[in-house]
Parts: sequence; C-alpha cells; structure tokens
Amino acid sequence: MKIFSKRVLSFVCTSLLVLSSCKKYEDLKKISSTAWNPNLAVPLAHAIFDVYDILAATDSSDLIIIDPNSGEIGLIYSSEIGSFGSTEIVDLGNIVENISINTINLNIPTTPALFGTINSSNPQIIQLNTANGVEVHKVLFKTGTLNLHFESSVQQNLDVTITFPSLLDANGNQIVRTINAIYSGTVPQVADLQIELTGLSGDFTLSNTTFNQMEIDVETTITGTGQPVFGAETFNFNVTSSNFSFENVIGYFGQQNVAQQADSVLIKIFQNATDGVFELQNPKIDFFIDNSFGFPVDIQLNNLKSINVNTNQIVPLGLNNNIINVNPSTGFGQSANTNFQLNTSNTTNLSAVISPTPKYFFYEIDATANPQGNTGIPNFIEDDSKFTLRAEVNMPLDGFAYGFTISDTVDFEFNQNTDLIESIMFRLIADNGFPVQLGTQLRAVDANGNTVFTIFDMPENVVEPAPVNANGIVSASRQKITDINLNDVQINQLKDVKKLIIYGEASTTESQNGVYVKFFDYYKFGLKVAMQVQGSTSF
Amino acid sequence: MSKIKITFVLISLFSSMCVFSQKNFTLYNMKSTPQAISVNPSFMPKAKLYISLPIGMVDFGVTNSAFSFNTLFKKRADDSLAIDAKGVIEGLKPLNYFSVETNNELFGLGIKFKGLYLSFNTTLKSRFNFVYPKDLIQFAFEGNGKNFLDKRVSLDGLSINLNTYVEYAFGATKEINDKLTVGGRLKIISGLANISTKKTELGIYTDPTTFALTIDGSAEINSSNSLFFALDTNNSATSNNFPNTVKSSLFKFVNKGVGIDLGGTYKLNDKLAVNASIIDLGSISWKSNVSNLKTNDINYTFDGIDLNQFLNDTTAKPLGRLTDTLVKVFDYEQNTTKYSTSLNTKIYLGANYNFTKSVNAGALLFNEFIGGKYRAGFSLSMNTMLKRWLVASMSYTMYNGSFSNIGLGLSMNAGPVQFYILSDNVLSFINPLNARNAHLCGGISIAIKGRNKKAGEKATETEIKVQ
Repeated sequence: MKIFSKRVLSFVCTSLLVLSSCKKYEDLKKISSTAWNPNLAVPLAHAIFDVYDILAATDSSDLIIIDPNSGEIGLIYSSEIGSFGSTEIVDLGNIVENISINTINLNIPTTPALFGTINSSNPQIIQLNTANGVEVHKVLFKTGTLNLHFESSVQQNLDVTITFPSLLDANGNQIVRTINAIYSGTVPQVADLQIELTGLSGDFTLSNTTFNQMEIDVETTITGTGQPVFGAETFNFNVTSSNFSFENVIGYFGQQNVAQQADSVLIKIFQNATDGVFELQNPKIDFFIDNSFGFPVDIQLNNLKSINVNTNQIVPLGLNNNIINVNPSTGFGQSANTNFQLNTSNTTNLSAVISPTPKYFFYEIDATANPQGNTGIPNFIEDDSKFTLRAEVNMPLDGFAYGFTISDTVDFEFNQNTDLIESIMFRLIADNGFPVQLGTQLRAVDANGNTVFTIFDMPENVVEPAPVNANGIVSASRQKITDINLNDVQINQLKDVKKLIIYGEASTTESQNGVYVKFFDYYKFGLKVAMQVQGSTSF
Repeated sequence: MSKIKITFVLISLFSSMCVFSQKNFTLYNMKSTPQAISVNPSFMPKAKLYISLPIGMVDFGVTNSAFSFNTLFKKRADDSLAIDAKGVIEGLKPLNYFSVETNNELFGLGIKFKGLYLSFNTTLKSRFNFVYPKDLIQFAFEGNGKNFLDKRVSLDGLSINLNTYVEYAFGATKEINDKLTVGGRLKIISGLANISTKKTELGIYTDPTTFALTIDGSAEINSSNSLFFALDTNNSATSNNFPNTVKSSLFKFVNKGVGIDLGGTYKLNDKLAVNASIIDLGSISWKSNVSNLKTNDINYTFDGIDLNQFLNDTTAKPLGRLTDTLVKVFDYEQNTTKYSTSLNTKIYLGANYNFTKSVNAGALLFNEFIGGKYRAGFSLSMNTMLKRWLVASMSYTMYNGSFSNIGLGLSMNAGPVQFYILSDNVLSFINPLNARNAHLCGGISIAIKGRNKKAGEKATETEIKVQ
C-alpha cells in the first residue's frame, strides 16, 4: 500500500473520532428567548348599507318614503293622539223618577166597602238626565237596568200593567210588565220590578216631538175586596236606573270640547345632534284625522313649535290657518278621513322651524264638536267612536346641512390580555355613495370621565362626500381609507376605558356653498373594517 | 430552558443533522459486504454463506434540507443564541423537506456456489417525508401583514408522505464470465402503512387594502392503515383494533407490492470496472383501511363578518355562520378506493479504479425519483483493505446542494462474525450543529468465507479488487 499508508488512514480515523468525542455542545446552553413578532392583517367586517339601514335601522316605526316616480326619499317622524272617549262625550246620566197616582186617577170612589171592578189608564213621562247639554233621541242600550218599586195603600186587589212604548226589544215589541197584588189584610202592598235594558232600543223623542223623555203607560184594574176606600190612599212607583251604557246614541251632542291635548314628534335624525344647520327645500307637517264620530269637529292647532333641547332654542311655527275642519262619519261603523298639511305655502317659517336641528316638534290641539251648532242633522256616536290625529313631520331629503354635529356615548369594557400585542391598526374603508361627509373623533374616558386617550386630535374625515350634479343627484361614489392606530401604551390603557364618546360632524356635499343635494333610494354606503396587529412575544 | 424550548432545540438538532438519507454512497463501495447487494445486486459477496438476524443491517438516516443548527440560530451581542428567522427564511428554497428513513434487515440468507450467489432478505423499510414550502415558514415567522400583503402565501407542494412496508427479496448474482457479473432481486412486498400526498395546491392571498383573505387551491391525500386519517365508519380502523389490522396487513399481504432490483458490473480491464443498478422499481397497492381525502377546488375570499346579516337578524351568530361557510368551502370527499404508490426508485452508476491490489477509487452517480421529482448525487470514494479482516472506505459526496459530506465505512471480520459500520456523513457526528444530514448504517452478521481454490487458503486481500 504505497499511496495511502495504513498509518495515515488510521490517523485520519482516530482524529475524526477524537474530534467527535471532544465536540462540546456548549452552544446549546446559550440559547435564549427568541423574539417573535408576527404581523397579522385580517378583515373584520363588511357591509353595504342603503338608506333604510342608515336612516331607519334604530327604530322600525320610522318611515322612509320614496317618490315612486323619482326614487327620491324623505323621512317621516310621527306621533298620534286621540279624542276623549265616547262616554265622556255622551253621558246618559241616571233616571230618578217618582210616579204617584191618586184614587181619583185610579177611578175609585170613596166608599165604606168597595166591590166590583174598576179600570184606569195613567200615562207618565220619565226624564233622561244627560250631561253637557246632550240631547238624546235614540239609544241602543249596551247595558243598564230600570228598577221599579211599587207601593200602594189601597186595600183592594190590584192588577197593574206597565207598558214602555219607548222601549223596544230586538223584535220591535214594546216592553210590558204586570203586577198582581191580592189584598191580604195589610198595607202597603209592595212589589219590585227590574227591566234589563241590554239590547233594548229606546226612543226618547215622544214621537219626534222632544228629546230625553220616555213614556210609561200604567193601566190598573182594581177589584173590590169589600174594604173601604178613604180617598187618601197612595199608589206610587219609584223608577231608577243603574249601569247605563250604550251601543250607540242618536241626538244632538252640543258644542262640547271633544279633545284637548298636547304632543310632540321626536325627530330622531336629530336625536344625537348637538349643533348644525339643516335646511330642507320643502318640509311638511301632515295631520291625518280619522273620525268615527257622527258629528263635525273643528280642531284648532295651537302652540306649534320646534324645540332644540341642547340649545333650548324654540322656534314657533307661524300659521295662516290653524283650524282643521274634520269631516263626520257617514254612518255607524264608518269613519271619515280628513287630511291637513302645513307646508312652506301655508306657513310663514316652516323651513326655519326645521333648520336648528330640533329634537322635537311640539303641538297642541283643541277640538270642538258641532262647530256650527245644531244644524238639524242628527249626531250619532257609538261606544267605540273616537277620532285620532296623527301628526307627521315629513322631511323630503332635498336640501343641505353643515356643522351637523352628533355625539354619542357608549359603554366600553375590555379585559383581555394585551401583553402579546405591540400595536393595532384598524382600517376603515368607506365607499360612500351619499352626498354626505362625516368627520369623527373618539374620546376614551375612564370611570370618572377623565380622558384616557383620544383617536384623532381633530375630527378626521372618515367619509368623503359623493359629488353631485346640478340637480343635486350623486354622480359618483367616493372612497376614503382611514387608519386608526393604537400604540402599546394605548392598548394597555384599554382596560381603564369605561366609555367611548364618539363625536361626529356631518355636512352635505358643498353645503357651505348652499348646494342642495337630494337623497335617492339607490344610494349605497359600503363599509369595510380591517385590522392589522403587530404581535410581540418570545419563545 | 422550558420544556417547549428543550423540545424545540432537540427537534432542531435532530432535523439539522440530516440531509440525504439512505443513499448509501459508502455502502455502494464496500462491495464485499453481503449487504452491498441492497444497492447493486450484481455485487458478489466474499462470503460463501451469509446469515443475518435482526441486527444484520440497521440503516438510519435523517434529513433536513433547509438549515442546520448553526444556521437556525444567530449569536447576539451578549453571546446568547436566538433563532435567526431572517437568515433561515433567506436560506430556504421554495420547497424544503425533512425526511427520516430506516431500513432494518429482519432476516438474511445468502449462499454462493459455482459463481452463483443466491440470497433471501426480509427487510422492514420505512420512510417519512415532510415537504414544507418556504412561504409556510415565512408566514409562521412574519404573519401575513408584512411581506405577504398583495402576495400569495404559496403552500403548493406542502406534503406529508409515509411509506412503511416489509419486503421479501429473492436475489441471484451470477458471474457470467470474467468480465461481467449481473444480479437481480425480486421483491414481494407487504405494505404496512402509507400516507401519500397526491396533490397540494394551497395559497392564501391578502389584499393589501382591505386585508381580505383569499384561499385557493385543493388537496388530495391517500392513506392506508394510518390512524390519523382513518375513516370513522364501521369499516374503518379504530384505535382499538388498529394494531391488529396492521399486523393482519403484514402477514396476509393485504397491501401487495412487487419490486425489482437489477444490477450489473463489467470489468473493462484489470484496473477499471463499471457498474450500474436500478433499485426499487415497483409499486404497492394499498387496500386495507384506506381513507382517501380530496378537497373541493377552493376559491374563497373572507372579507369579514357580514354586518348586514348581523344587523338584520339580531339573533344571528356571525361566527356560527362563518363556521358554516368555512365547512362548506373546505368540504371534502372521502372514499376507501384502493390506490397504488410507486417505490422510490434509485439508479446508481459507478466506476472503480484499482490503484493497487488492496486500494481502489470509486466514482458514483446517484439518481432518485421522489414524487416525480429527480434528485441526483455524486460521490468519490477511496476503498482499501487494511487487513484481511478490516476493510475501510472513505467518500466525499455532493448531494442536493450539500457539499460537505464525508463518508466513512469500516467492515471487520472476526472469524465468521462480520461487523460493519458506515456513514455517508461522519461530519454530522463530529460537528452536528453544522450538519443538515446524518446517516448511520451498521450490523453484525455471520459471513463464512470459503477457501481460495487456487491457493487453498482463506481469502486474501486480493479479493478486494475490482469485482
């Protein structure tokens, strides 16, 4: 073996083994924590909002109206008030009558002993004691009872038939009651009758000659018992009523007040507004009256005004006419509708009333029945008759706004471990198809209201306004990307934050130049929220 | 160090020790050992009778193509070590792999007579291969918020493969004449377990503005006797009967396979010989406890929770909806259809030159096909018989971008007992912190040599000459 001696090979092998055995792993002891700083970018949420989502999401009772021809939209905020109840307008009162018939009217002579049979007939009138000058012609009773207490000192046998010509049952039959009193040696002879009025109809006109009066015919047959007749005997009826209520009443109900109320409409779009100018081209206030009373009513609108509760600014509304003539119902079960609109034509300052971004529109009504007096046309009322008045503040979104500031406070609680987070960036991507610009600022406060930190020192425009054409219609959408950065200090402070005060300032496109913009139902607002987290840990 | 850190270090060390496993460049040049027929069946062993029990050949190798311990960690100013994420990422190739391969000869028998060597070997083979894209590691270190904005995180090629089987090899080596020796082995294979990633094309794209995440791609994985992917049906393996089903697969040849090894050696002259072999040409058909998973073609963009749904339906649970959506997006088909996998075919092309009767030099070109991808290696070796009972081999190998692989092999005979040990990269044991591969092969067997017919003596050092 000339080229490679065995000794050389042995040396190489031995050296390798020695090197291998001597190799120390000291480097392993030097391994320390390694920083790991991954950066994660993730989308959080996305949405495309239309006008319904933006303007009516908070309360489904709000109404967005769309012009079916143009698609132009408006906002409607409403409230509703009603009249007095029917029983407050027509009170049938109570009947309290004493009917006394003497022996002369009974056709019985004075005698030591009476024998034979004697007949007599004595018609009587009962008065209905109504309130508020109500003249009752006819009544269909819902409930009620007539109580008759009979008491006689005549010592003879008596057959008494009481007929109520004014009271008819459902078949048109007069109500008749009889009393048979057999003299038993003692007086007075007493009897009680009750007439259930439920379902009975009453005519209180005495054949269209008067009102509030009811006739009773008392026919008696006296059969002598041989007892004397002294001439001073009594023959009395006591008539009372209880629990009167009606299904309906026909008559004349006088010029009484049927409603006197105040109400306000909450204009929610301004609910969180603190300041700003808001001018609409054609705001309206509509009153819709639904009347099931069978008599005319005049509603007087009083004290109409808008109220900005933040500034205490009150703007009274000047009216050219504050009376609404309400149509009467045309029949039982029917109701009549009457609409009345306040707009820029019949008011002096309606646009100005809306401009200070009021929170409430306030109004009072005072309603009077039969404003023309008794015209000879009978009134009618049913037990469930009423009128309702719905006031709607109608705001077609055609105008401009600027400096329209809103603020809101929301509770905040964050108890997560943030040790692994070095910074967070929230990204807002607003694709705005509305002619509205929105600047915002966020203030994080602790439990004592002290500011922990703020996002944006000044209101930052997070939504750019879409441009409009000469007709105020949006011609293109605008995208704005806003990054909100939280550093490690702010992230650690999150656990101290208890409330977030969000401040926003909105204005319409070129509002400072008085450019009017319109809102249409096809406008969209796209929002995407993403987050980029810089982690910081070690392993 | 914490347990996690210790575990991480051990994994790093283990993985960093390896590069190419079981190419057996060194064994290829120790032709006189009976085990050399596993890389070229035309190599005629010196022993007339060879018997091997389970320790006859234990071959183990691990590979991490991406980094070593020293490239994984970087020294800081205070002399401490920290993971050099940037350096690791920069050193990664688009696709990197980590593999473990073991061969254990359970039984071996060889008899030589009249220029014919017949052999029978039973070998348990197992290979695990995990391919990981560079983007996966970069994504894990950096997240998607920096370098992956507006760039697709490519997980294409991410795969896991496992192949475990027992092969029963019947071999014959024949000296055709003084110049030509040929050999072949027919392998009957019983598959034990398999995981085969047929396709992985997955990617995550992050929109640079909205951070919307778009996931695309598809994946397809076949498995057999793999508990991890086992079907949850009545016909599937469960944790209770899984060992039994594997054992059943072993002896009943449920997962049949066939393979062949072919080799040839030709002496050009007394000094120079060339040889070649093709190893593991064949396939296995997997039938037992098959679970094939195939995802739908995915193209899904997540751009956050849909606020419209949430606002319009306050009872809605946005995360629940998202989960439902993801379940639909990542829906997959599952079936139990049998499938086949090919063996990892290797081709060796070699040449040897005799300097003396006991010293020769070798050159070897290695070729391999893994998952349809070609890999090559080249090795130079020096082989010598130091004593009649001691044969040594040294090699230098270039493979898969690694150029610092020094191999060493020793084979010793004490009477009929043969002991050998070799490695394709002894530097991994000398300087493990700087190595990316490790390989160790060794064993003890009975090798009874015959008498030299001409001299009537025991085999002499001349037998190390070119065969």
